[in-house]
Amino acid sequence: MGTQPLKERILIVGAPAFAEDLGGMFLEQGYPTAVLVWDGEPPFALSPDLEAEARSAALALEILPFPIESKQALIALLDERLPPEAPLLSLCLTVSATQVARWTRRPGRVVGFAALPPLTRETPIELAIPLTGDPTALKPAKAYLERIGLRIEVIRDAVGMALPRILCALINEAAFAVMEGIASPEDIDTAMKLGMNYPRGPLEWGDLLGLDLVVAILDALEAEHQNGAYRASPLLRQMVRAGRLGRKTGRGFYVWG
Amino acid sequence: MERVGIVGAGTMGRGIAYVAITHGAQVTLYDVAPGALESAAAQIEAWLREAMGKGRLDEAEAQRARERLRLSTALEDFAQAEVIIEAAPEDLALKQEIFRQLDRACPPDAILASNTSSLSITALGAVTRRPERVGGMHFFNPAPVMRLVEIVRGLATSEETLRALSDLARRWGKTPVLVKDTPGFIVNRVARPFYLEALRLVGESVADPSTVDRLVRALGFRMGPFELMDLIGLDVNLAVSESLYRAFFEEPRFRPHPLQRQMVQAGRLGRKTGRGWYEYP
Repeated sequence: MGTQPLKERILIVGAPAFAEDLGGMFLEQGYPTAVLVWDGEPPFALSPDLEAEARSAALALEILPFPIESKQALIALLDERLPPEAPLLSLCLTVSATQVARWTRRPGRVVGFAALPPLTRETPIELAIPLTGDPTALKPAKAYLERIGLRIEVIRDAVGMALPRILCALINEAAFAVMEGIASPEDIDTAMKLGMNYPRGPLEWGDLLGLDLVVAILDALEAEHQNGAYRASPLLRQMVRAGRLGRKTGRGFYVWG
Repeated sequence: MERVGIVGAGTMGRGIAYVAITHGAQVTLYDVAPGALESAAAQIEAWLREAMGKGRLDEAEAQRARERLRLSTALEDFAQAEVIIEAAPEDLALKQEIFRQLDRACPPDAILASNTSSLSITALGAVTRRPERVGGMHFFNPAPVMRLVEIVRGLATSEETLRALSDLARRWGKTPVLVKDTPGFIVNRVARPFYLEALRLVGESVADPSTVDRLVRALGFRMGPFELMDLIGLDVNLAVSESLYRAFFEEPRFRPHPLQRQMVQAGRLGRKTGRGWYEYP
C-alpha cells in the first residue's frame, strides 16, 4: 500500500464565494487547503486561525477586492506570518501588484492575479509581477494554478489588469445607455448577444460580477488614468447606494430569483 | 402580405431583399448603379439555392420567393409600397436627397425606414413631410443570417411606426430591439469599449494583441477584439470610432486610439489586405 506524498499547504483568505470556489479547486487536487472567509468589513476577526495557518502555508492567496484598507491590513499580516519563501498571490482588480508589494516587506514574493467572479475552471487568470517584484516568483505561482486546471496568461502589471478593464468598460457603456433611456436593459443585452455574438449581455454580466465591484474597478482605473475614460455612470453609483448590486443581493439591472 | 420597396442593392439591400421575399413580402429592389441589380439578383439566386441545398426551402417555396422580387431603376415603382427600406451608402446628404424623393414618390401613409448604422434618423425624417412615419430599421451583416434588427426612434417617430417596423422584423424571423436615435444606437456604441479598451491595453504595453485575444476568447467570446478588428477592417473600425467620438462631442470614453490610425496609415487593414494585427498569408 503506497502513501501519497504530502502536498503543500495552501491558505486562501478573502471574499466569500470567490475564496470558497478557489479553495474547492485546490482541495479537489488533494492540497490541504485552509479557506478563511472575510468580506473585508472590520473588525478583522480571522486570528488566531489566520496566524496559525499562515505559518505553515507554502502558498497564500489573498482575495479581497475591497475595501482597500482591509486589503492592506490583510496583506501586511500575511507577509508578516508567512514563511519567507512562500509566494503571496494577491487579487489585483482595484490595485496594482506594485501597490500590494509596497504593503509588504518582501515585494519579491508578491504576484498579482486577476480573475472575475463567478470563478470556474474555465475562468482565465491573469498574472503580473510588481515593478519591484521578482520574476522568478511567477514560476511557482503559475505552476500551482495550472495544477488545479486554471488557464494562465502573464501580462504586465497595471491597475485593472486586462479583462476586468475590458469588461467593466463594456458594462459602464451599457449602464450609460440605460441611464440615458436609449433602450431597456433587456434590449441592450439582447442586441449585444445577437448583434455581436457576446456570450452574455454586459448588464447581465455586471449583475453577476456585482455592481459594487464594477464601480470599484472603474474608480480605480479613473484614479490611475485621470482621463475621463473610466468615469462610472451615475446610474451605477445610484444602484450601489440602493443596494442593487446584482445577483448577490437579488436585484441589479435584473431581478434574480 | 406586405409590399416593400428597398433602395440600394448593395450588400445590405440585397440581404434585406432576400429576407423579405423568403418571408412572404412583395419586394421592389431599386438601384441606379450599373450592374448593381444584376449582381444582387445573382446573389439572391445563390442564397436561394444554398437554402434549398440545406433543406430550408423547397423548390416551390424558392420559386414563390423569386416571383416576389421585382427589380427597378425608377422610384415611381414604389407608388404602391407600404414600407420602404433605404440601404444606400452612409452619406447624410445622399440619404436626405433619397428621402426627399421617396416622400414625393411613395403613398403618404407609407413608412420610410433607413438601414443606416451611423446617421441620424431624426435628420432623415426632417427633410420629409412625414417625420412621424420615418424610423430606423438597422439590419446586421449578413442580413440573411443575423437575427438582430435595431428599430430606431427618431425625435418625431410615432409609436405606430415603431410598432409596424417591429412587427415587420418579427414576421421576417428577426428579433427587434427598440432604441432612441442616438449615435451608434445600441450595438455600435456599447461595443466600442471592446475595441478601444483592448487598444489601450496594447498601447500601454500591458499585453500584446494575441494575449488579449486569448483572454477574451477564454471568457466565452467567439473572437477577441484584435481578430475581430481584422475581420471588420481596421479602416472601417477607425471610421466608426471617429464618427462616434465626433457625434458625442469628444466624450473621452470614445476617444479613438493612435494605434488604430497608424495601422490604417500602414495599409494593414486586416484580412482584406492580408495583414492587420495578424498576418493572413
